[in-house]
Amino acid sequence: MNIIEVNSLCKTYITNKRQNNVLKNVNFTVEKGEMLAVMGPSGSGKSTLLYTVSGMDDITAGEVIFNGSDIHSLPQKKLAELRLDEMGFIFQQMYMLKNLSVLDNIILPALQSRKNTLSSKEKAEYGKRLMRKLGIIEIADNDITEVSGGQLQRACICRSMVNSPKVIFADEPTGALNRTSSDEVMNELGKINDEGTTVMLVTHDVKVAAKCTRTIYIVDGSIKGEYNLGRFTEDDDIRKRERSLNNWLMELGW
Amino acid sequence: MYINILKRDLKRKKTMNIIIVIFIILAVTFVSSSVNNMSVVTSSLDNYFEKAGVADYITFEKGIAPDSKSPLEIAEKQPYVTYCKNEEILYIPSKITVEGKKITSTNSCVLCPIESSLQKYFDIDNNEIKKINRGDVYLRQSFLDDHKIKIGDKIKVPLGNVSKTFTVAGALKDASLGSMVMGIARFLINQNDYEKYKNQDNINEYKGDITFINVKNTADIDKLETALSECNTLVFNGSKDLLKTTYLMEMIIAGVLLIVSVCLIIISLIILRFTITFTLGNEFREIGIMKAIGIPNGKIRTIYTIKYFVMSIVGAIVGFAVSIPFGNIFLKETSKSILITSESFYILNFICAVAVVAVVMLFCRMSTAKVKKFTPVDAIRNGESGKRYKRKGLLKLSKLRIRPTVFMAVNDIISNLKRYAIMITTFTIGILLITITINTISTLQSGELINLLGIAPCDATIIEEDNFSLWNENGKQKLEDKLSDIKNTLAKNNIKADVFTETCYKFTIAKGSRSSNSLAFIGIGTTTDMYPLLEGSAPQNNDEVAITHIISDKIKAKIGDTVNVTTTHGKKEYLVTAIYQSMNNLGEGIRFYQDENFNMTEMTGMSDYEIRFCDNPSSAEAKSRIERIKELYPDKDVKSAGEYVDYLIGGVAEYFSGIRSMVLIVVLLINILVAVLMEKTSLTRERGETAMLKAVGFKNRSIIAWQVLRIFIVMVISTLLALALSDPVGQLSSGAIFRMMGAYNITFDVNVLESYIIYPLAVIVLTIFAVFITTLSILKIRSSEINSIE
Repeated sequence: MNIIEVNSLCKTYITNKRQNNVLKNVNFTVEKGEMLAVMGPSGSGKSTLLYTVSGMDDITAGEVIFNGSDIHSLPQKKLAELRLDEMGFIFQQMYMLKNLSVLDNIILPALQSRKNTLSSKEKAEYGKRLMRKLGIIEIADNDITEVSGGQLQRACICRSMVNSPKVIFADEPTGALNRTSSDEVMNELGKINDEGTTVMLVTHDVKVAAKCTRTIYIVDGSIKGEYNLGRFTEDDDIRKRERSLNNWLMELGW
Repeated sequence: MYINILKRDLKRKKTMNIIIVIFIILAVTFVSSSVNNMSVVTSSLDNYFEKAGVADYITFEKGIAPDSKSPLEIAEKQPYVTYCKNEEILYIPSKITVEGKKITSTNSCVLCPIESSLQKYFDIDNNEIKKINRGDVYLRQSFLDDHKIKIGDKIKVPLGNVSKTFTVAGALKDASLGSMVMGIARFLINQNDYEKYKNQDNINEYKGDITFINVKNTADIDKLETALSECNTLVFNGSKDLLKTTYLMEMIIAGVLLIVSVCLIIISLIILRFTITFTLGNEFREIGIMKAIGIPNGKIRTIYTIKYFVMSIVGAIVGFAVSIPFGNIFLKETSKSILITSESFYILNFICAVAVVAVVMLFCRMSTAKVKKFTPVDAIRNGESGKRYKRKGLLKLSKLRIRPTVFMAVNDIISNLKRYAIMITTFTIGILLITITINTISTLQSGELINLLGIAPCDATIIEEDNFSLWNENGKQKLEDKLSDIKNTLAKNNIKADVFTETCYKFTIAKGSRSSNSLAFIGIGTTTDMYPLLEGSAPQNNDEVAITHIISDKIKAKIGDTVNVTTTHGKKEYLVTAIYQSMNNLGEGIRFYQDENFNMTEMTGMSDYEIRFCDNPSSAEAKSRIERIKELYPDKDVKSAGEYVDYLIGGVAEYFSGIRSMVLIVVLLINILVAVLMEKTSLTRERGETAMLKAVGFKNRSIIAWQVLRIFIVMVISTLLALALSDPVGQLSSGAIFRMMGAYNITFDVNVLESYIIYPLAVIVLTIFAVFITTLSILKIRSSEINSIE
């Protein structure tokens, strides 16, 4: 069953009277519980695709069906509610409010949500539970300037999870991390996905994409192809998946 | 390179730059015009007094006291007096009508013929008035303004059996009596008209003299004042310098503007520091790179200060240009009562503008010292030098049960107290300016002030317009009969009240070699324990007096000391039993025991008929009783205590009311500009956070609420701070004005509704509205910008 269905999606910027077609007639679907990677060279439109699919950016033409409804036909207020309650976001830059502790940043969307019926105390408890699960409970009361990049990115994952979203959108979630932190973050995303949350992520890293179920490759705003590796399990040989994906990418001019 | 950086910066931070330039323009305009105004008025006063031929010392006499010597007689005998002469005048009982409408004036009005005047007068166009047509009268501008008299109006002046109608020919520039605070108003008329009044029988009680005395040097003034203590018929006596100080009120707007401009400069500097710190914080990468390629600190600081130099120059040029017409508007108002002989010193405006630029540049240089702290590593490591920072957030959202937007707003303020302290300081100063002005006006108009005007506490007053018949040997008896008559009339109408009045004399009080010629009061119908005292106990015997603290300081007399008071009966010793405060006669006063007897022919004045309700009624009941008294005395002017104070010093209160509007506009402007500037910088600084909040699903409404709520909380804190500080700061600022008038310890009358609610609320609402409009720019921030924001 598809949770996301993208039909004839086009996105055009007009800068200095010049038309720049960033996304050209893009069509794809994301199945419920799938972990989809979007890859492509710099400037190919990967991030724009993620933002338009998640409703963070508007579209020029086409439609994005999220859980049965066309998100771009929704008013801004409804779209904001949808992002708050049904979607989670992870970015390359670990944006958090500077004046709030790590735990407060994590539970902020939960406290803002009307759909999340837990009490404030329960929401805080749930936040802590997520932190414990991701191994960062010791930094709950720390300021965001007091923790490492890897810890902060895991805190961002906790924040994306706090309202139990249907889909997590991640834009280069490991882009600012070292290899060890990157592996840890991907392991956590994998676990979340295993628990049933759909993940759509943008990456440059073959190692990251190799842990995803499927990869779509985008060049100049158009999908050049997709490669299905199947669900990654602990028994799988990750190197084999990486090699296989790499070969496919090379064929497409990576 | 400088021009390129400047162009880019001016374009990028348009609003911030515009606001700073506006502040500099306002500061330069206000400083230049007020300094210029003060300078022109001060230098013109000397020329004006010189041209008008005002003597070194002037006395106003009224009536004839049998045992008293005239000032002329006394002055002539003094070896240091180089010139003395007097001119005759007539005091007008207050039954003057303008266009058939009676006017009530607290001023003593005097008729003076121009032909025999010792002083020169000028019209509104600064031409000397040499001749006045029969039937014409010239009056000073403040008198015309107070009674809404226009040129050409008919003014009827009855005196004894003669009543003449004059046409107001113009405004009079009268050096000795021209200030709005002078208690004597001159009616300058033709000699023939004057003779008509003078040549009637029984005119002696209205007669008076003005004596002009010149001395060898100013040090002789003190000796002259001591010698004049033998004269008991003085209504007013003062030196030329004292008369000049009465024109201080004419400069009060310039003075207030100067205070406002100093506040503006302080606020401009605070904002500058904030924006410079903000700019440097934002451009750590550029600074780091400049350092990495070897540009020295000094050069980098110049890059950042040059922008403010250009802005200061632009602000100073515009401010200088605006200050000229702006200052002329003030000068035009002042020139209605003063002969402006001095040209405007535009060089002063220029110096002020340069001074503002210099202060701004000095401050900029100091503020850019932070550049030294940045290192190339900052640029490379994205602002993170690896250093751990101090904990910022003090509150925990997870532990508080409040809405996230409210929490974020409160937490931001607590976490960045230094930044928000700038706003709190600015708003507090602004609201303080408003509350102090309102409290001052309200105190000036309150009934409570009556205690400081030499009058016992009362609820109502019947204005007495013609008390000249009381100024004789039997005056006291007549006065007591009159008071008793009013008391009986009130009692018959079920109003149980005490009725009393004050009689005023001018006596010399001395202790050892120190003396002072002061106003002295005896209450008729009152007891001395009715008057509030600062220390000691009220006089209980005929040989006891209370003195004001000003007199106490002047003659160095304390409670328990014996002082000599010279009256027509000669010198008499009195024991000082108490010290009190008064705003009469610049704080100089003596209060005698109620049974002490003086000849009322020596009286220099009396108050009206004061009424105090005996049963302490509610304010509504007191109001209704005052209405009943009005019905009982339909031909008299009946006032409540508050209205009476306003009537006695109404001009000053009205003057301050004019300042209130100006202060309110300036404060609103400052608040709005500061709030918008701060909000703009916050929005720029928090662009990333805003995009992130939008991305995670915060609605625009919530983000706007967060931003606006922050300023709202800051404004509420500032308002509470200002309200808490309004009394101590009020005592220091406007309390000084009261102290100049003689009120040593003033309790401000606070109009809670105006001072604590209406005005602060208006400032908060308008400022918040401006912030709300500014915050709407977050609608343009898209959540998808999150990764492209630094």
